[in-house]
Amino acid sequence: MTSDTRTDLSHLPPSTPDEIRAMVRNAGLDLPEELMRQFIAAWPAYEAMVRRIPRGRAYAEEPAHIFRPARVSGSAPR
Amino acid sequence: MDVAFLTIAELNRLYDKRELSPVEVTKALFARIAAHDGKLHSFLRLTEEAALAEAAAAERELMAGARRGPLHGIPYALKDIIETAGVLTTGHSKLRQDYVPSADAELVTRLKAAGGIMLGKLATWEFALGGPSFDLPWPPARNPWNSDYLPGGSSSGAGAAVAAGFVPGAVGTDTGGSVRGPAAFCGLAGIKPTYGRVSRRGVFPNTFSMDHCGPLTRSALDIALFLKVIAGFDPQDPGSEDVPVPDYPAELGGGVRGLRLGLVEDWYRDASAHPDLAPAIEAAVAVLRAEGAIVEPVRLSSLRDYTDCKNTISSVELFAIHEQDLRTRPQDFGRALRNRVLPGALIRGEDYLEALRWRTALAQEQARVLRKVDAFITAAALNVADRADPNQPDRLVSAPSITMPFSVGGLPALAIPCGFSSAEGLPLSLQIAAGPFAEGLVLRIAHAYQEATDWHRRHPNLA
Repeated sequence: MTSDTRTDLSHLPPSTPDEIRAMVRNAGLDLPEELMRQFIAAWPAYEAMVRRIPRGRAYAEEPAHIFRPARVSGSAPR
Repeated sequence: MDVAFLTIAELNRLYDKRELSPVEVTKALFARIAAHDGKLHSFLRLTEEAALAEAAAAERELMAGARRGPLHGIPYALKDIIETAGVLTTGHSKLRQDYVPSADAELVTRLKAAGGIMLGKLATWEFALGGPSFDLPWPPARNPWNSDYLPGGSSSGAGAAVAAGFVPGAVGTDTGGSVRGPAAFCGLAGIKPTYGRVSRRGVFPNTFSMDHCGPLTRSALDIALFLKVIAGFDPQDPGSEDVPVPDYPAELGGGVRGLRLGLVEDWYRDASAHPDLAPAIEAAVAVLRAEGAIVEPVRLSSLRDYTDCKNTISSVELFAIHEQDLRTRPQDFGRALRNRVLPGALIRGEDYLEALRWRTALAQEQARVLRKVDAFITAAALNVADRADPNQPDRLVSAPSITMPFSVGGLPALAIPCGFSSAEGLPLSLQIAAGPFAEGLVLRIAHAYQEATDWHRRHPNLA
């Protein structure tokens, strides 16, 4: 269950429109002004979502990645 | 005979008795599509000539007693992110409006080998994500129960076409609920199988680690017949699992007596849920208890948690998929898709990894509860279908989703109708989920419910 004491980044202030523009530029994206305005309106919900992700997991708590070299090479028993 | 709402199982019986033929059914369905799809927009394109040839071939083989399987001579349609050799596969997007694949998706290969008859390609939210969109080359599909409403998404055309009686079954894709949502909003059965159960090869990706393909039909029995054909290991799909495919239809008759079902009540007893939803789920629980199931409440993490985890992972994977087009032709995206893909550019690698670690923890939580119960039951949608309003705000990440928990867990999850709202007259839906590769159990529970109820036998009147 969700812990009431978990650590996340929700305390951080939301990015300003100028900061969002800078982040988009830093990502190498060149959006026309109208599309940039649309994105500035859309981003705060995503920023809030990412900041709610709980942090501070134990090292043993691994990501849900699966890399099985035998499957990639197709050469070993499945 | 009006063939519009015959199920796959009923078509098979009528074919066996020589009372109906695949050619008759195919022609009748094309006539129905021509008469009614002008206001529903469920199909992006029809493949009438090829379908009639497939129907004639199926008819010859069935008349000769050479039945290939449960989909032989059965019409179906495909969401337009599923590749079809020689047939446009646009993803409902300007970005791919001229794309003609050279090969079939693996599941299409299986459907063809089974003797199915493809009637055409179906509307979708743009690339199974951006929608509903009113700024694409094709209009969004509408809900056959009331065309002022949408059929849900992203397998919007699949939900609309099956509910409208245009096809008895369709294949959609489900990353966060894109089969179960349209099934719920259109009064259909729709399954997201276990991750790795049905090949994704040849299907345009949304989120590599959460994409599933699954059928929408009018009953759990039909899902069983459909899934039997398309499920199975594909060594060329890196996510595919080499797990034997059971005889799903043969497993349906076991009933629910003695099964322990975990009712996830917190998720649908939300202030934002439709007021008719909780009573409809309670009534469904009463039916299952009367059939002998033991239903007990269980608790899982909040929908907010599951939704945040899923959408963070998806946002990053989506950006990786669409990055090149976003850099070179952002104006060719529909607004909804563009604004749902761009955030992935700003999400840090460590955030993505933390979401993936969270996914492990959430999936383990589901596994722990499944050691105490055989399956989960809850609602398949918190509300009825949305009105077709181009000015509707985007709620993908702001509103919690009741389908995403089982996307995060990769578990098989099925939506089936369990009532109608009193004010709008639109379908309400029950969701059943179970452990990995327990599709047979999910279908068995659904079939027991449908044997005792008739919600799935109600159909919209298109006249």
